[in-house]
Amino acid sequence: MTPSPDAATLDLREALSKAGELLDKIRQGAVTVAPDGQILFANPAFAQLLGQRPENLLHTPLESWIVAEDQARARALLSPAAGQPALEISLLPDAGQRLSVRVSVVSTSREFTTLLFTGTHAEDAEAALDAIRGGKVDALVIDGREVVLLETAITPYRELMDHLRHGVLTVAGDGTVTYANARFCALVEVPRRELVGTRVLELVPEADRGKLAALRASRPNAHADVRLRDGRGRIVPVQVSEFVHRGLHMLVFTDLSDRQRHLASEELSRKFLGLLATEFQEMLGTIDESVHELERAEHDAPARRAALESISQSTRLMGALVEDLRRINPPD
Amino acid sequence: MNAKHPAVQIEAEVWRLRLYVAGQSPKSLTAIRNLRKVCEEHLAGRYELEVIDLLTNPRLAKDHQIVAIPTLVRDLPNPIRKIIGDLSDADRTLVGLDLVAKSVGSS
Repeated sequence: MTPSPDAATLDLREALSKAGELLDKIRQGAVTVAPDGQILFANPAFAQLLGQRPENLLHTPLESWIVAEDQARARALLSPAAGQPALEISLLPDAGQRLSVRVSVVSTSREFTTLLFTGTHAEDAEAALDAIRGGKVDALVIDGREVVLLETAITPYRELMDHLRHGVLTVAGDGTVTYANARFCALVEVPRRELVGTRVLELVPEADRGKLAALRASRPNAHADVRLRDGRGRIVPVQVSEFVHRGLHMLVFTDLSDRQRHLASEELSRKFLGLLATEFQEMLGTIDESVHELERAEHDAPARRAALESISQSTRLMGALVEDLRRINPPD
Repeated sequence: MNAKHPAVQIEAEVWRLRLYVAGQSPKSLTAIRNLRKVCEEHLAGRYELEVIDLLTNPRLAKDHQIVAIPTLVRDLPNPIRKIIGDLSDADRTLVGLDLVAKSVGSS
């Protein structure tokens, strides 16, 4: 018995619906097309490949979603005489970025053909996982725009960092600490395992966060004075610079408390030398005066004795001071 | 030629290969070394190799939707082929590039 057109339509809809339910459950994109290439059904996974909702694809030509140079090959796949069970083509989502897929025929009849699409990016992800497990890659691309090196790739850099006298952090673009060298851990008295994964802004008091954020947003190699809060809540003044080298963000911290101690020590030395200069000046003044006295009192024995005594005393004092200086700053 | 896999007749056309690397990372250097060896042994004089450093320009990863580094892409001949990893498994590289046929029963 020949089915009525309506019955045939209902059967087809029912079949599509049941097929749709099944196809919805699988990961791959699935599309059922009429002989003229119009899309009769598209599952959410296929729609997702194109950045569309499934209903937006209904009754559109499948070819309109395929890049021009692959349309003839895709058409050939739909032909009953097609000998090729699968091929690789590129889809053209609305976003404009080409999307490589592997397409194969699942079933074909006079009324419709069902095709299965597997995004090669899904295969790439699985292949990447295998490669990571096998230790065959040492960097990943995140969101197609950021390269993140894996541990194996940066071990040599880290060994180098640990020999530096400055505190160094490597951070991701968002400021998450990915490594801290030994000097930085000592500077803030926090173990590396606790530093890794924190945001660098959390390591500075709130008042200095704006300054650090501004530095990170400014030109490379700029520097700023900020304060770090160490593991015991104490403040450590530092000068920080950010270097970006081949995708690696490095923050270099110079301990200003060392510099401040050094500056304080220099200040003490400066004052001491100033005092010493005044002392020497006074003694030289006394000697000079005594020399004049000697010149004036050529035949006055007591005056000569007093002048000579004064010179002798000043000389002894200057000798003692010089000896002290030599003791404090011994020659190499 | 490879003992485990039958050789594939390679047409006299230029093979265009792109190797995506991350600077001079150990795996990137290994991949360059392994790929040059494969090319010299199987494609001497018939290949163009472009090494693309994604540390210098990460946005180039979009061209071939690169997710891990190193990754080798065979642009030509069609179809595009992609091999992720340092190419240290020479057999897998040869099969992946269609330079030898897959053995019966191999995955």
